[in-house]
Amino acid sequence: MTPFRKVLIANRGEIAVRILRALRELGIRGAVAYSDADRESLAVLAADEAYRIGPAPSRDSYLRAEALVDLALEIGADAIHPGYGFLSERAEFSRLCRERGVVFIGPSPEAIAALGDKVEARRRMIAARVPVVPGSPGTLPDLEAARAFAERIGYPVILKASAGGGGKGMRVARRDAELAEGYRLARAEAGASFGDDAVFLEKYVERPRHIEIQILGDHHGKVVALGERECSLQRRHQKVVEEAPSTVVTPALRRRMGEAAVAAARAVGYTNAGTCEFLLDAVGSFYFLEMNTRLQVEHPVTEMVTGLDLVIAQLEIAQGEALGPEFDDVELRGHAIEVRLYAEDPFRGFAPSPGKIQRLRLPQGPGVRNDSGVFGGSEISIHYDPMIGKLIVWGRDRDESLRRLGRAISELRIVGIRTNVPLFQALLADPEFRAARFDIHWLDRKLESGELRAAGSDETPKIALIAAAIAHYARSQRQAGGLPQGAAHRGRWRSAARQDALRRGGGT
Amino acid sequence: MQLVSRVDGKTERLSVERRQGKYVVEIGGVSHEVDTRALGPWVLSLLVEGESHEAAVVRLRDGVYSVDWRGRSFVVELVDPLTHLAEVSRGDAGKPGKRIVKAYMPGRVVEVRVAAGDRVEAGQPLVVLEAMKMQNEIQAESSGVVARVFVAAGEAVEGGDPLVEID
Repeated sequence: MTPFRKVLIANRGEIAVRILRALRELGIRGAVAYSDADRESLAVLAADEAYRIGPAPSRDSYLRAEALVDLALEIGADAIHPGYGFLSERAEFSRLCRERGVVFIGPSPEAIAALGDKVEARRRMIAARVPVVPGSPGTLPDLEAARAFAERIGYPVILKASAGGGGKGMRVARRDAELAEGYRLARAEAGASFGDDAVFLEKYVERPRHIEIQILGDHHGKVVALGERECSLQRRHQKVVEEAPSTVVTPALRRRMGEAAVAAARAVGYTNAGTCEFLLDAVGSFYFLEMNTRLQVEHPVTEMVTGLDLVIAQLEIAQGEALGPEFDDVELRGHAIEVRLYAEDPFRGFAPSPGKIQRLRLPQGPGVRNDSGVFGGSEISIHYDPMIGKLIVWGRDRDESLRRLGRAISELRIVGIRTNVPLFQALLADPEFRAARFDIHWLDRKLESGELRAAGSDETPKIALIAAAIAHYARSQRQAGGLPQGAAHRGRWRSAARQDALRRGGGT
Repeated sequence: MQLVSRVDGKTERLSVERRQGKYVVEIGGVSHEVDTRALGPWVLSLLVEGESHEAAVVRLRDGVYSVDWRGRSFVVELVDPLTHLAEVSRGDAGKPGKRIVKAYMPGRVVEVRVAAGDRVEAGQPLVVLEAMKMQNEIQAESSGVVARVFVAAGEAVEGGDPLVEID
């Protein structure tokens, strides 16, 4: 076991900054590879060393596996941390690192490959007795086969096109009477959409929650589970708010899910940090969805309730250290909530709102943590995911952390771009969210019905008029003798105007 | 100074004056005394009868301001009352008329959901644009009839390029 002296981060944004923090605490030099779009980023400022890897588009920079490994060797880095996204879950990148003699801070290429292939992963999980959504082993030859299988696993069931995707050729049957019609329609739709009318059948998990278990595995055969994260609040399959622990997971269920996650990891010889995602139904049955073979965006909520530093754990594992007794039977203390701050406008269909952050003031005070990759003056680039950062709060219980979240959001100031902050304000005012009564479809339903959108969005507050009027008056006083008032007011506002003004750096 | 504010077609009469170092803003007949400090080029600290407010005000163009307050953004248009009256009598104040929906950023057109002659409602998706690795619906900001579609699926667009004209 040799401690690392230098680690190259093959990533950008807030996660690069997060990894640099862990490296600094361990006294390891942190190097970042940056694209042309990120030369002026917080990650470059925070790094000990920074090297250009290519132009802005990801494929020419953060996805250049060979170039990144070359860079690591050239600068004498012992290891590469891939962060999340980009190359983090590519088996061939893990393999390339191994072949070239650089430690990949993550699982082996074999484990990533096994878990990345849905069919293979399902086969291995069944063999390891990890519960998966029950389904027909292959396509169904006829309606009778479908009926026999549905009766065995119990209704409701869902019929899916074998060649499918995107919701086409999918039909839910809640009882026997609906099966024949569903079978006929699913086949017809599958045939029309994919030119292949083969369908299979699965148990339909109704209004499930997304619960995931954080695991760590070292190179000495130890695998531990570190409790769950509640990630049911999703907009179009994108997580928006994450919590730990979940209000519906009892200690007994936590133990069972933890054991299943550890079994899943062992089934593929998993090492380093990973996350086992499950669907949890209303009666406490859970089903394996997939294993994410990397550090998750939402890892801070687990850190807040366990007191552990998962990035430091990743580095120690990669250096060959054994997981110590502090990782055994970890107790969860208090409650943590993370919200993902995005440069997108919830009042305009969540359209990205790139541009320059003119001013930024992040919340502080008790129980507040900011993991962000920006500063006042940063540009939110069009080239990457529009995440600004993550705001995480901790409280002794969920009520306290909700109060802190509300308070922290009231302190947050991001000027110059639109953000999804109004979504969180609307959520905090929603009784179902406050009572943690939701499932993975809840947020989409709420947004579609307009219930959340409506929260406070209609009336223009008096203060906005006062502020604009004062700014206008002060400007006209400064410009006395300039253009007569009202001479150039015939244009109409369009969203583009704001973007244009911001790009030109227009000021008050 | 007498002003008319226009926000999303709603109008309000305002007056602003400076009196003994403070601003006095009258809205709908109610007068507010406001102690104001500019904190840098963007941010105003406002004490409105003792209530502390922080607002970021960005001038978009003459008479049009974006105001950020408590995490939300508002676009406030201010005109003098005579201009407003003239526009009202011509019938085009606060009414959109012909508007061109533009791409807000560079990207690729994935899908065009409307054709010339279609009647659209505010909020209805017009075009699906892929940018920043995400697909986004460009929605109509107001109802009307599609006069022209400038793009087709598969085309690359630059920020500011016209997509659809709504009459």
